[in-house]
Amino acid sequence: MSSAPVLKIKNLSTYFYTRLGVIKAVDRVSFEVEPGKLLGLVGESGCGKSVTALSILRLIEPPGRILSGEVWLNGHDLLKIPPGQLRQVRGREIALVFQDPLTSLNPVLTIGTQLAETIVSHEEVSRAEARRRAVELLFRLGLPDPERLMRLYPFQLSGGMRQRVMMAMAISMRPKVLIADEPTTALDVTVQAQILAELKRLQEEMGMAIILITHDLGVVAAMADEVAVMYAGSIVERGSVVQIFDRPAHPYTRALLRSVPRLGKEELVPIGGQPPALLNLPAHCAFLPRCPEAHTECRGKKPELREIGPDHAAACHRISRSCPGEAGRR
Amino acid sequence: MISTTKVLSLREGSIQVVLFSVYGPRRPNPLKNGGGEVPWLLFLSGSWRAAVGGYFLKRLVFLGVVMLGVSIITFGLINLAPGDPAELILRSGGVEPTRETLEALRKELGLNAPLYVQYGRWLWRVLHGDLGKSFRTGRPVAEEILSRFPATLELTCAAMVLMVCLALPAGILSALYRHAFLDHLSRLSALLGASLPGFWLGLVLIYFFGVKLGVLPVMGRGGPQHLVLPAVTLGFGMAAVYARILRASMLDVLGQDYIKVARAKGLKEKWVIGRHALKNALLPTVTLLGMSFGHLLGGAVIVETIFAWPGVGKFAVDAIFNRDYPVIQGYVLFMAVVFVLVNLLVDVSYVFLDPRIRLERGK
Repeated sequence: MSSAPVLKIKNLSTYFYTRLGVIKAVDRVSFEVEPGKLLGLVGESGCGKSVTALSILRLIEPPGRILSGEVWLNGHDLLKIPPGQLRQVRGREIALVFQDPLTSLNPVLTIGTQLAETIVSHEEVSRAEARRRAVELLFRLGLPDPERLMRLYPFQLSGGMRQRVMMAMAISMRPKVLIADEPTTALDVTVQAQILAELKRLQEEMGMAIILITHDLGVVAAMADEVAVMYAGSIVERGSVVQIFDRPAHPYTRALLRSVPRLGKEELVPIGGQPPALLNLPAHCAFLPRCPEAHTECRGKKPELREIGPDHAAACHRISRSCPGEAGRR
Repeated sequence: MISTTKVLSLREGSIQVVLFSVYGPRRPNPLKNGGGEVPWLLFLSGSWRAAVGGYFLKRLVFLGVVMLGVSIITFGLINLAPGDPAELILRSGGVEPTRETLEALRKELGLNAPLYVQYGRWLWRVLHGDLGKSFRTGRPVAEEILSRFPATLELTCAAMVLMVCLALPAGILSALYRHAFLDHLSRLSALLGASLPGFWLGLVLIYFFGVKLGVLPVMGRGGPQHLVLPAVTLGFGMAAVYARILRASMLDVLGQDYIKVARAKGLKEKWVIGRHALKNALLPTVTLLGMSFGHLLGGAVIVETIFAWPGVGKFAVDAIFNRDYPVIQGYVLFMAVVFVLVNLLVDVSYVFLDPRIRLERGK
């Protein structure tokens, strides 16, 4: 690791207490992001990626509850600071871009109002100054005629434009960390590429750290520096993008990579079985029922995430420290 | 649960039918031409003031159509009543009708002409403000109603204000503090408010505040203290129900993504609730507010009778007991006009509240 991480998450657990039982949406997740780096958080739908993002800013609502953990930013644990101080972190130090730009903007307020209010609530500036800066932001995101745009309502914009507006909103306070939760899932394929390119460009210009949550491995391969693979609420493998794609160690990561189409690859292998229900998770490894490399020792307690090489960690009983990626390989 | 879209689509439907008959099919929406490029000028050329004006005009045409229907029904009222109108008039005057007097009155009233001619003549008179004369007092009906209307309006508005003042905070707070004491209290009062008949509540209030405690007057119109009991009787039930509707609407909005976004932006909580949530939550409830104004006017009939309030409602009840047909007719017509006008006001307020209607309909 080259420089000190800007955001450090330790043993974060968020459970949902429903009538049917406890859902362990995030279970002892730890990771960190360095300034200017992009961390790809990958996994199937429902594996706890979004809940992780919301937990970082304490945006979890009942019946969900952040059980334990630490979220370190600027020497403060965000899970312990008072609400007033937390409000100053939200939007200013850490910004969120949500999945669906259609529902993320308030339908009855103008774009200008929604942009300016972020600035006004964090800085002692006049409304006029805030609006001027909002216009600048829209311009910066390549939106045509920003002056007019300020007076429009969300329903008058296309999906791609709305997501650009959301990004303008997110970068308005020059946050240290930007969390983008599937920012392109709701968009057309052509627009997806534009939005991702925009994200990359902003990162280079502003030097912020990005946590990109996605289920698209192609996007991760193209953009990420570090990758964390989530499965059933836990991180099962973590490492640099090179490690993950060239020497995937965890059976789940390998299965995931086999299931994605790539040039020059003959055959796609789907992952058998179903992702586990997060309700009443077993005490053993959650991937066990689907794992092609399962062994008797896997029936024991859940494996911990441990270092298996430089800049590479995985949570699997079958991986020996000496030769990562060789576990149970036939 | 009432959702914005449901209410909107209902309104859209009804308006669409009328507009279609008046203006032909609506022009296609230029915004829905397949994403990407947005034709800016199309929706920015007209200021929103003009948009409201156009919308208002369309609603006025709608109002005319509704009023025509109401007038036909009202006219039918006297003709549908059992017996001959001429005989009715004579009997109500205390005269035993003879063949000659009947014939003379028929001629005088033009009752021998075909029905549509009679309707035409009647409508012409009504349009000139002539609603006929009361059988009982002999004075013009229009004059009688108009002189009593301020009292009814005063009572209804007081009830409305009371309703909003109770329902708004109760609805918001019970949504924010779900399953807390206030929420349960508002749930209970909604149940009571919806199930207790107004006359019962009125009598109980009279008993406690008028008879037992003797702190509030229970009869007639006068200073503000005269207003309290009738207004509470009229507004309480609706206020409680309304609070629940606002609560449901508020909870619906609070679960939306844009509220989460607003919080993630680091906005103050009062800003999130007061601006982002409330403005959306009020949309479906404003329609209901307009409708409930009609209910209040109707409810005023009973409340005015209980409290001897000298308004239109009591006048109408007296007229019904006396078979004073011109007054009943005039009352129905007058109330219909008021009701439609209130609905028009609600629709216009929608234009102010919801940009989606303002900008899409105003073209």
